[in-house]
Amino acid sequence: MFASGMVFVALLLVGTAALVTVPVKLAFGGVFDTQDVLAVGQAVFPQLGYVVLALYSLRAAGVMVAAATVSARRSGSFPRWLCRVGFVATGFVFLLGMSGGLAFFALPRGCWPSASTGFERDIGAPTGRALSPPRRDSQPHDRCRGPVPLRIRRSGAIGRIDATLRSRSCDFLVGSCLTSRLTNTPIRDPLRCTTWTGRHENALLSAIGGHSTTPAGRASNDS
Amino acid sequence: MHGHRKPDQTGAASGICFVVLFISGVIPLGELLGSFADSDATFDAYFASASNRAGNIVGGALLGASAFVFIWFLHLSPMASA
Repeated sequence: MFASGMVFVALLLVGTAALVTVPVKLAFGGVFDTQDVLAVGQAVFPQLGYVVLALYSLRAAGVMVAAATVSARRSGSFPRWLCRVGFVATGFVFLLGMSGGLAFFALPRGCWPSASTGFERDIGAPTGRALSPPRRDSQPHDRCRGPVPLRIRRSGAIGRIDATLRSRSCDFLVGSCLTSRLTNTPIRDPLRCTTWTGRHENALLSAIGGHSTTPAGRASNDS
Repeated sequence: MHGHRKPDQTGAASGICFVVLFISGVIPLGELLGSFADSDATFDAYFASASNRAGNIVGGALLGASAFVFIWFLHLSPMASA
């Protein structure tokens, strides 16, 4: 609580300084005969102050309120209703801070659908809910051509998890394909609750961008 | 010793003082805070008024004072070590 409170105070002072820099300069700058020094920054400093105050300072305040509420709840120094009010206030302050930064949050949200679209294009359409049994039509088709439709955990709007899962899935597939080639065993995919036979190895490698380089793999793809 | 207050009471007083100073400091700065993403000409016209400049300076002073009062509140708070 003390650390987040001090961060809040620091950001509050920085934001206040940015907000009042131009008025102070215009009011007292004549003493130093520097009337036009901040002609460009007249619009920049107040907006910087707004960002620091409304975006970051409020988040630090939210963390402090949350820490105080949790601490009071553990120690029992606050009544229960006041702890609930504290949690509600935490959410409110966080939302207040986020409302000031909608432009910043719009960028990741705008990137999430495009990342998901690229994921579907590269590996296959992720359908269904998490770890549900694979349907028959979602298995790799017999001739091992084109992208393989795979069942994969859908992370919804959280693109970061989706990207992490995608990276882990690709790493897993590459490693499994190589292991399968050496041991001549089926590929076990725990993420999709299914097993890939060796003949689909090249389709998997192709789907994740790792094209087969062996003569046998090329012959399998061409057949 | 009726003149002495308990630390809890002083902490509560500092918290209330912070809230009062913070709100009274944000009110004069509200128009400036709400002008985010406005054009440069808007800021030029806004700062051309002496009353606006005075209000911003007063609001900034109150907001800065509230920050220092909040440090006092943190120092007196029994949960500061959390």
